[in-house]
Amino acid sequence: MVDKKKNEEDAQSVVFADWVKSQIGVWEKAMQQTARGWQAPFADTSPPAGASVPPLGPDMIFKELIEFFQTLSSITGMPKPGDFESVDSSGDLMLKFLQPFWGYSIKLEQQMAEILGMTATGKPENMAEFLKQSTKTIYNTQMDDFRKILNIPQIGLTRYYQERLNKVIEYASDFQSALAEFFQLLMIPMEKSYYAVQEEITKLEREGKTAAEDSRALYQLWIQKLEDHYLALLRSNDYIETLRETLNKMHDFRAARAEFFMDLLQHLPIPTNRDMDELYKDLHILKKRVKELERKEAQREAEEFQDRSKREADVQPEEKEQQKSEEAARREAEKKARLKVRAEARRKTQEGLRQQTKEVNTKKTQVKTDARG
Amino acid sequence: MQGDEKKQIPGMMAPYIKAGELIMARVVGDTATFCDRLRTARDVLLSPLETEVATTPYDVVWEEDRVKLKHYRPVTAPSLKTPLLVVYAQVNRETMLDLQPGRSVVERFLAAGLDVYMIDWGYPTRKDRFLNLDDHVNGYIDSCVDFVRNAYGLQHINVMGICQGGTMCVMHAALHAEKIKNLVLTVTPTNFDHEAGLLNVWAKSLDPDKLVASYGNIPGDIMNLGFLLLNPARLMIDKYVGFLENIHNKDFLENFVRMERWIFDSPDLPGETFREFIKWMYLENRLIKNEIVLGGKKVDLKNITMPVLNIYGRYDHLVPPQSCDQFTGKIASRDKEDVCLDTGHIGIYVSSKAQREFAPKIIWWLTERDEAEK
Repeated sequence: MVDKKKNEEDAQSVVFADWVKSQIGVWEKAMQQTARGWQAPFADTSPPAGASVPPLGPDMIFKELIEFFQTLSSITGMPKPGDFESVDSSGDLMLKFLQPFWGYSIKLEQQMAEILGMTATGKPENMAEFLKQSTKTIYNTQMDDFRKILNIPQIGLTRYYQERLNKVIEYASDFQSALAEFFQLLMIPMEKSYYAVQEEITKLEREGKTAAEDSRALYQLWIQKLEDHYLALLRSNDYIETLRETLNKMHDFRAARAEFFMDLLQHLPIPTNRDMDELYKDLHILKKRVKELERKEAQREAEEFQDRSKREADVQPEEKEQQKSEEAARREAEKKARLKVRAEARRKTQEGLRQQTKEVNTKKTQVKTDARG
Repeated sequence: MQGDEKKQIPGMMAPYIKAGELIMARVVGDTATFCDRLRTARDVLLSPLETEVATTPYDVVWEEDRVKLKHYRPVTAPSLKTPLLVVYAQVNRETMLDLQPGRSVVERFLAAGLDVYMIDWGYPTRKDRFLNLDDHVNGYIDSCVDFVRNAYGLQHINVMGICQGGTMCVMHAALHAEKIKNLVLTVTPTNFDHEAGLLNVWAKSLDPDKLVASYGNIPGDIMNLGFLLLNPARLMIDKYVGFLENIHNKDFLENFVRMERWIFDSPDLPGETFREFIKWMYLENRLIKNEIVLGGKKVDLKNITMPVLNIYGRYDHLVPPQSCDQFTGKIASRDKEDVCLDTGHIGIYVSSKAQREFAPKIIWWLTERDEAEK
């Protein structure tokens, strides 16, 4: 069984190696052409008839890149230093380089097969356990390696954009993982209540009854058990911790996604949430200030009104009479002054009109005299 | 289900297949009856249904931003000289108090001659995310109280707070005691330091800062999902099994749809209000310890001296009795009463039993205090 599996894996690897080498061969020829172009721009790049093609360009470039990949290998778990020593061609080099990814893909496939295999034999006892293991395989194992690649420092003008995109991918995966675990927890009471009903069915069978005869009672039993198991779960530390983790991961993902979308929106005539929130905050503060000012003004007016009312209430009748006559005298004086101003204005207007009429008449006389002359 | 059939069920899927079978067995029951029910259900579903909620007529007499003040049109001569302002929670809608004719607290109040005003918090948008408890208590609620006071030329009015709305009314009463004549609290949480309710347990694992940063306002759907998870077996399965069983019953269907419309009509909660409520109440239990400061003033429960009626539900899973039964011991009022009804958080307003006890109790309590002043 094990040998058969091994043979299958070997066969897959051979096919994979052939495919990689054939693909690299095509690209190698193209690169050689390009490399000659780099060495002698504008020169005729086709070799003279009968001349052999010098071994340059691509192999040298790839050899140089080895150093770089060796450095990366320590981060990503890719081929270790020394793995490239026996490399003779770029095809071999790429094969070496891609081998870990291929190996990882096979590993993932094996893990999934194991889980499914266990399902067939009933090893994960329930769906919740199955989901837990699948989640672990799909997200955790996968992300452990992938996360390292996502976290490689970015450089250049677009580094921040790329970093933010990488964060979205990383956090989306983390959130999905946490969410799957959360739902997996919610499935447990379904399974526990099932076993309770199973026991009841067995009991009924022992008593010579069939479950279908009392399906309503079984439903009631199931729903009651389900409720009890949920209540126990929802109060458990496990649930609370998973809830907290899921919410935190959701926050991380949503925050990263918002940042990413803000990058996109800033190139369009669409305000981002950040822009709008700043505006809303200003508006909120301004409204509060206006309200406070209105409140103070209303308070001041009320106090003034109260003071005036109080003053008026405190004044004696004789004083009131005197105040009234003084007020009347003041108003009369004001009225006289107003009338005087108006009379003066009227006089000036009339004077002006008389003057204008006089000037017009003088001009008319002048015109007539000129006409006769 | 038995013998060979049982063996055919894949091990892992068995619980789910079994659940489906049990539900179907429950819903279908007798095949002939089930077919009859389906035929009737088809006719019922295709017929015109009355599923409107909040049909009692009202006028909007004041509004600011998204918040409106409703004044219900009286149906009889007022029996109390002091009007009543109802302050609902910002979670779900105030239409709960006027779900349908015959199951409406508002209707009962109006029939008893109460002059009823109610705050409609509206639907917060992202613009409202910075509105905090101070804005709601010293802003909107206080403005509504002032509006009603001025409309009647009264120094103080009656206020009834519901759930989180009640908590805000407590804060308002502590800060503006002179404006409140009588305070009625229903299912109002004031003490959060216990683990009797799942919300109290879960809230301790929440990071409100992160949630607010993620969402701005907290979506109503997220809060509703949380409420459904309080009892998934009943709220996500059994309830709908019951619905399928009774789908041929027009009255049942109409009532069910009304309730569904209310439950899932969930406005978002302004982010800052959520942050402060979770932090100050659930995480730090500041209200009962007199440690809240709003608008620069300390919210001191000892300032509450007006008569207080505090009603809560024995089987309330959202605001359990432990959340409510400490309050009257912390205030300075001499006229105060705790009433624990044998009902739940929603049942207190809509169940027929509660309808017989809940609204009449409030009407009687307010009338007694209104008459005492005459």
